[in-house]
Amino acid sequence: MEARAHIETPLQAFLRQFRSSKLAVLGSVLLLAMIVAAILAPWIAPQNPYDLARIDVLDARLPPGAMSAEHGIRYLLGTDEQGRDMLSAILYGMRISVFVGVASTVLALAIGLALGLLAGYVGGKIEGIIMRVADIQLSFPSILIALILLALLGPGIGKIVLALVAVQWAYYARTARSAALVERRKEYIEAAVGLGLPPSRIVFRHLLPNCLPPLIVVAALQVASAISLEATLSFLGLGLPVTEPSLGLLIANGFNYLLSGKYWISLFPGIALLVLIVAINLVADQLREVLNPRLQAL
Amino acid sequence: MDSKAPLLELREVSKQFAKPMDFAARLGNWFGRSDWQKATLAVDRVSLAIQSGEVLGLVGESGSGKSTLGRIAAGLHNPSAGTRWWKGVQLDALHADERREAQLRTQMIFQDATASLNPRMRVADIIGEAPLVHGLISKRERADYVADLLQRVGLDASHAQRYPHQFSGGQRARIGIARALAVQPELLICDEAVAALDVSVQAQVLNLFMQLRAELGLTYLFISHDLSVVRHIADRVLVMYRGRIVESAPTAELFAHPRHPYTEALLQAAPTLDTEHRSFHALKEEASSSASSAYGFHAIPQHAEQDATLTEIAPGHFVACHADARS
Amino acid sequence: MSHVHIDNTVLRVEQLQMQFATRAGIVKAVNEVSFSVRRGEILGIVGESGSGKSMTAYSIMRLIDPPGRIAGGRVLLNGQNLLDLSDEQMRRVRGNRIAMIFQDPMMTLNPVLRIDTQMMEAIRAHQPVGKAQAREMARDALARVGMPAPEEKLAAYPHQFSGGMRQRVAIAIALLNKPDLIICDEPTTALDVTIQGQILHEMQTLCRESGTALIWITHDLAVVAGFADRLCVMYGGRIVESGDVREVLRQPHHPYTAGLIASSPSRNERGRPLYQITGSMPSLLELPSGCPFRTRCPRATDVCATMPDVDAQGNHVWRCFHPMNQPTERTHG
Repeated sequence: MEARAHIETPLQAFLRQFRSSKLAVLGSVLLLAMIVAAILAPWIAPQNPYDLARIDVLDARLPPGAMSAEHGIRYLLGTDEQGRDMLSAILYGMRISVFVGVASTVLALAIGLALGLLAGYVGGKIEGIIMRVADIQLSFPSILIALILLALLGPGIGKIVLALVAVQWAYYARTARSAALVERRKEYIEAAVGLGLPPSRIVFRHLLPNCLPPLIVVAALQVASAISLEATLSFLGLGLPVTEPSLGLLIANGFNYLLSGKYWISLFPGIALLVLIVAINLVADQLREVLNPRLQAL
Repeated sequence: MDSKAPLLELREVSKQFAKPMDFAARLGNWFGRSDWQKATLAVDRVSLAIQSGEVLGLVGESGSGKSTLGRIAAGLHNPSAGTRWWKGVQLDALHADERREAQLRTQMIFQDATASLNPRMRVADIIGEAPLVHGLISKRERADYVADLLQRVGLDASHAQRYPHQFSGGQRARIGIARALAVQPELLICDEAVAALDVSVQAQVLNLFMQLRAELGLTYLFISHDLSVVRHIADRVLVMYRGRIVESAPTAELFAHPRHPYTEALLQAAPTLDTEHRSFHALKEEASSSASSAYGFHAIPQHAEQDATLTEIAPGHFVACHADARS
Repeated sequence: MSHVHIDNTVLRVEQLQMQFATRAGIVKAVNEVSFSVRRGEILGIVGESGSGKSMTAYSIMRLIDPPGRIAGGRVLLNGQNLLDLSDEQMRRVRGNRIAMIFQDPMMTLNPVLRIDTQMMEAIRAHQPVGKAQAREMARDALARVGMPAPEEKLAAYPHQFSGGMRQRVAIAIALLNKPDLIICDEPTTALDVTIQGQILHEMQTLCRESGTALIWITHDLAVVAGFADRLCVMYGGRIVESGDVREVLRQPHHPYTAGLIASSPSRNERGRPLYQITGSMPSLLELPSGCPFRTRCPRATDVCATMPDVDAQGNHVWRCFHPMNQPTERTHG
């Protein structure tokens, strides 16, 4: 009885194809390193930048490598204008950036996927309503919507995530609907209908797994986009409170000092943000290659 | 046996496909334009009856409506007009539950076996899902049930945890058959089920169909464009052209004495291994896909009301009224 | 560029080898394939999927991309080895001296261009003619393939045609530059039987009239039976049998050929199980040593693990240690 000689599970095939790009491997290593560092921040950061007792305003604006007179730690990347250790601030700031990026993407994905699949499978008036709402929302610039929402809702991490979800869901809904329209016509769905399976089961067990690949690609790219949107909002002052700075806020705070020689206050958070986004993009690019259905050798 | 109702009966069934007018067109109509809905009549007043245990062949070319008719029989499309009867009971008159129950007894085997299998499901799930959902088996029984079915269709039961793309084309066809058998059907509708298979695999799958018929008492509606296959496997044959049945007869009779000019044309054009039949004939003018001009060939007229009826010209042999039909 | 040739052989393929490098090893998709085609002759190449028949055609046309490569042999078109030509020289041969027709006419036709644009492009790529003359030639070509109202059709787009008509346009394009050889890869497999019949009729007439050689690749023995003059049967990348169509079908020597004929429904008694070749085609990565068919052959013995020599009887050639010697008859399951 012959079947393929090499039995590879889909996961193994995916990993193998993913690894074929050195850049993507580099990107994922970087990304993983940054995420781990961010998660472990409370343990590896030299200083807790949110603990006001530990910050000494006398240590403000020290250059990289300077020693703290009072606290006995070396400020590897300098301090900002409030005496916070830049390295610690960056680590904690990454935590927030990554959390906000991932949380908003996952929520937006879930909502967009559900609505998009519903629209694509059921069609008719429901599809019309959902898609028109999505279209209207997509025609506004995302920053504008986020700004308006934040102005209404006020500051706070939860509100930022909410604003980002509101901005992003429509993109997922459109993609999910297109995928659902294509898959719905395929014979394996017809077969499932013929087997008398209930519609809910068909949508979740048959349609969803086959509509997911393009959405995963979108999601991977959108994480980066969400992070940079949050950074922008913080930079504009509408994001997180000053006491819990994200990378964007750190960059904003140091903006004034850029030209007066104290570059490190903006530069290092800026580099951290850049590396984070580039790493995500590298991974997302390769994901898109690998998940491209045309390249799936069957 | 004559008084026994046929297993499946379709009476005067028609199917129309209309492209729904979008909002803009409807708005236009409101303002005085007259855009009509474009409709195509895929199946036109077809009646057929399948007796339990028989193999009914359905032949036709593209545009004949045979696939649509097959899907109506399988319950995948609802007819625009006409009625469906299962074991003498009208399907549309039943409650939704009873209707679902009855429709489960009819299963379809698709032409493209690869497309008909969910690429992200393991074979064991593909086959075992429906009987579990319908309560035919319990979770504990599932593994054995699936293994049994795989063996029955000639596959290795140890491959149950694999994915469809890890099998060959012929094996995928068998998986599709196992999936259909899993819900214990009485009628199988094979829509060009062997058309995409290599000749040597085709023979194996056709033999499997015949074996299952003998072992499980199945009934078949066998849709195909390949006359030699239909001739081998079917007890009776229906010939469809442009949504209508133009001829219907027991197999031997149809191939020996075709009456309708279209049937004759089909038989003449079919290639045979017989090397004496050395040249093909210039037969017909083709209509382009957008024009609705009638086929020039043999002046088959545009459908008129009275042409839908079939007359019996010999026992069991029916032909649609036609100027050129021999009697 | 014309070479003087003594016989009227248009194409001679000698020991052609085409291979793919895959992660799991080298796949010999075309293995020591040799055949020839004469002027005005129709050669049928018959095989199932994985037999290498399409790959042979692509190799002749040098349409092979890496990781595939042509590993050996010669392809002589009117005496000239195509494998020796540079890319530019080969480009001048394609569409000009050899034309190819594919199963899907949309592999030939560009969906966004009008028919006349595409046909004129094909002509003017190889012949120095003006636009008006090219259009004339295009119209004539359409008329020759039996297209009604050719003038109207020239102004149309491919999506306005049915499958059969598109294939006719593809054939017309193939004929435009009066090639010496046309290779057809399953062009009528997806078409209705009546349309297929008509196209086969037209191709036969055209070949007889213009002396164009034709290679017709198909999995359908019955089409070849009524249409071709000679036939080659391929299995596992090799030619297992070849000869005059009538000869081979009346008395196949190779068990695979005999098996194919025997599994055809028309050769079996109604209602009885069809003769079936046991097992299934092995993947090209796992071909058995020696004769590729031996794992499924009812007549195989140990000696079949080595490659049998070529046996011949006039035109009829085969490779088997245990050939069938009786004429085929109706088989019973």
